[in-house]
Amino acid sequence: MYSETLKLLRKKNYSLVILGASVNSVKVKWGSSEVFRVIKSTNCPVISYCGETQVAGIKEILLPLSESSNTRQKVAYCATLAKVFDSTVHIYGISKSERKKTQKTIGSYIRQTERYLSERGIKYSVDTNFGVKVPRAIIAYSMQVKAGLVFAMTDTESTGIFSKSYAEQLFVQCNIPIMWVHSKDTTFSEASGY
Amino acid sequence: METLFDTILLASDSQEASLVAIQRTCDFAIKFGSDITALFVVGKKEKGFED
Repeated sequence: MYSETLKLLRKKNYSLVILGASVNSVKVKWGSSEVFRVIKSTNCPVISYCGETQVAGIKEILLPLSESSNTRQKVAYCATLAKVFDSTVHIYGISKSERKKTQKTIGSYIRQTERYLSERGIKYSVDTNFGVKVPRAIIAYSMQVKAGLVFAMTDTESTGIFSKSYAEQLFVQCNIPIMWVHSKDTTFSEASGY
Repeated sequence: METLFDTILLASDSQEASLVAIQRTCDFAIKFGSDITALFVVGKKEKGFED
């Protein structure tokens, strides 16, 4: 699927890629998942559906925000989808760190996001969680809010030299559809960060 | 409505995931007026789609 999808992506510029992947092609013991390589190779947002995904609609959208500045690039896409599908956005400030500086940065991003969503009449809720394992906490919270779509960046930090990135851990462990946004893709950004 | 996703590529490698992915692709295409290109890849050992 990797090579065939890439062939099509080279021929034409797509504005969205939707991947339906079997469990076997998602879960790999060594190296990187073939499907995740497709996600990393694209220039546009990608929505991934794993074999075990349940159809839940997009009434609830989970928007995790970390301390990295590019995390805010998810907001514009999230707001667009929430507006179109009349969804509620669950803003979730999260970090493995409990440092005051981290909490302050994420708090600032959350306030900006709240303002952005409220200006567009989009329903939202806010929660935070610090000092936790990021992928695991996101999955648990997505189940709590019954999210039909989770937003994630493709280029997240890794937990160690030999460990998979948070993004890939989330991809492998999460059965909920994920919309992947590339940090370099700023087509719909209206300002710095958005 | 501003068109954000005017061209969608749907790529799938299994039946179970395809059903959800197709449904969602159609939802997006309806909402955004998008063109869809669908790619279904079948492995050598798989039989492909069954009626």
